Amino acid sequence: MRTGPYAVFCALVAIAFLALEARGLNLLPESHHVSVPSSVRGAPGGYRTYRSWGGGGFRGGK
Amino acid sequence: MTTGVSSACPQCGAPLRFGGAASLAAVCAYCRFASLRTGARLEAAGKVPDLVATDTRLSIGTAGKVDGRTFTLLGRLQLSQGEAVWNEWYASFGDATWGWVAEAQGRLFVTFPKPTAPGLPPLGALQPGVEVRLPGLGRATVDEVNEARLVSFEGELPVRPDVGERWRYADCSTESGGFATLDYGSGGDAVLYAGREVSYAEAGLADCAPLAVPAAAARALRCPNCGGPIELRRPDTKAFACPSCGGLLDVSQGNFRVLGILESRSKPPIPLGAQGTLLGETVQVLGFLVRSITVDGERFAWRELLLHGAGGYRWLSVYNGHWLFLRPLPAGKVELPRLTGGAAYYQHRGFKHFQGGLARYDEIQGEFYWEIRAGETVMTNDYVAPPWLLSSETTPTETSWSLGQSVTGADLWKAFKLPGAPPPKVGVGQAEQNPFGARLAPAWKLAGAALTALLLLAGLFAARAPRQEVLALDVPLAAGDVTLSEPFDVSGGPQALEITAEAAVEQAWVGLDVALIEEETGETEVVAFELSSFSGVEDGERWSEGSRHGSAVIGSVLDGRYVLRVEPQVERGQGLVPRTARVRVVRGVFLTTPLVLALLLVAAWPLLLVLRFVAFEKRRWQDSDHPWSSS
Repeated sequence: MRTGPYAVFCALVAIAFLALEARGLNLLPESHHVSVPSSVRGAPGGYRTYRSWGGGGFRGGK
Repeated sequence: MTTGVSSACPQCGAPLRFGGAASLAAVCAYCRFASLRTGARLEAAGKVPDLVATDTRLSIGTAGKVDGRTFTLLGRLQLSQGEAVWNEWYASFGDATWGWVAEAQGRLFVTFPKPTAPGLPPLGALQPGVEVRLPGLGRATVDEVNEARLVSFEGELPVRPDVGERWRYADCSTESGGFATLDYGSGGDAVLYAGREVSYAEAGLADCAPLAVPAAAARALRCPNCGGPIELRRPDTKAFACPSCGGLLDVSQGNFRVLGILESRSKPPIPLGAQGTLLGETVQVLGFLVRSITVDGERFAWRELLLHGAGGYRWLSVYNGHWLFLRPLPAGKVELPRLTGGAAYYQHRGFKHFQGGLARYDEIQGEFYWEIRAGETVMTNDYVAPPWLLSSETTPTETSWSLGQSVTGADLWKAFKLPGAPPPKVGVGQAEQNPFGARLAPAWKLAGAALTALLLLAGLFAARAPRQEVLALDVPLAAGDVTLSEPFDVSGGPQALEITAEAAVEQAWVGLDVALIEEETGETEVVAFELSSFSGVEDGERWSEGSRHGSAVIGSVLDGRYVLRVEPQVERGQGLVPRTARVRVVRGVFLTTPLVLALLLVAAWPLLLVLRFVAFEKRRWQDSDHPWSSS
């Protein structure tokens, strides 16, 4: 059997793993991204009143 | 009349030689009258019938050597068990002992008389396939129990032959190549002849073995039924099926006799008479058979070709484009299935039972060394250890084994220089090599090394991960009450940050929207946590659900100054919600998802090979007596 291509594949996987760990890249994102406008950042209490966070979408518990 | 070892024939006066110390009879080479020696006297014993043509490579005067002992062939008996004739050569050894060299179907068996052997089994206890213990040989398997008839003889003999005399015998073989004949005469006590199978080369008879298929040796004849030309390529042919008219001829008596007309003639996949070199053996196609077994009303038919070469008779079998090259095997070399729970063993290799049944000769073409008849049946059983196959065929008098090896149609077409391409394969052959089997071991070896390397690297990363807490925040749990942290620095990135939240809720639910805001750019990652704890008793069983702890990982967080914004939602109900939840931010955490993904990717190829290996085996066994789906 020709294991050469598979060996190369394994090496590439290992390299990719190292790169992902080194950069702390989470492949299964648990957060969503939001860009807060500068007007909000510059306004006093802007973070408190800003409502466009995307939200957790909670619908309550029990 | 005798002068030591030289005498004169009482019939014609020609010189008659008694060269063997044990010689009791001799046939005059000139008049073919037999003379019996009694002391110093010779008495005529009548004319001996002509010898029957056989495939012998030996002759009187041939010298050989077995286990360092030289011998000379002085005479032979020709015996028949009804279907085929074979030769038993009288071998006189230099040390004044003697033995028999049996020559049948291109194989040699050297045996020596053991007149005092004790504890021999009675004839009634023997049947083909039965195991017996024989003095000097140990465990042996009965190959054949039959009756022999003396057809003719020539030269000197250590017995007083009587043409037409019959005696019962049993042939046995052992795993180590031992061979024995138990001679029961007309049904009395046994006399043991023990020895072993030897090749022509081992017996110093290599010069007697044809190095290639005899060329242009066929006898050109005409079919008595249709007048069509027929060719007999072997001298020991007993039956011939005319390819022109389908007439099955008995050719054992010189004059051809039509035994019947066969119907539905298929075309042999390799032409009769074709020669080729296959697996190191040069062979010629002699006969063609269509055979079948019927299982649950369904007929399974396959085709077989009888071959002959320097090693004797061979077979090619084909079913659905899957070919097997089969060589005969002594029964003693196979551990019998009934002792090994459905498996057979040959040379310590296990063969699984594949299929058994009553196989019928449906169609016959060409020549055969036994008196074959259309419609005859034999019990067959096949055992597989790809690319090998063991096949047994059992009749009431004989059990014969063959060792088959899977060969490709392409190899056959090349070996026999056939035009075109072989018929395509359908499904999986019973002894077809699983193409994924040979790839599994190196794939798993490499995968094992790669998985180990990945785990070591992961361990190294996990050990070196700083896991430094950069923020710990108590968040008041009041609906609509947004908490903002003091700005905090994250450095050493890009890196993964873990945000955890914890609250000792009881029969209540709390939601937290947590935003990690980079102050300078406003780039924000938002995660949500649900913290809850509910429990109760329902139908007498206690239940609980929810978690007071939550965590999320944010990947590739760049260096910078951040603020954490936490907005709670609370459903208190009858439950207990603490005043605050604890939220922490930890930098430099080890990520498990890249590791899991890498392990899966590395293992995927060998796992795929395993799946394909299993699927191949499942297809192989679906037509067997033991399909996987029902086991």
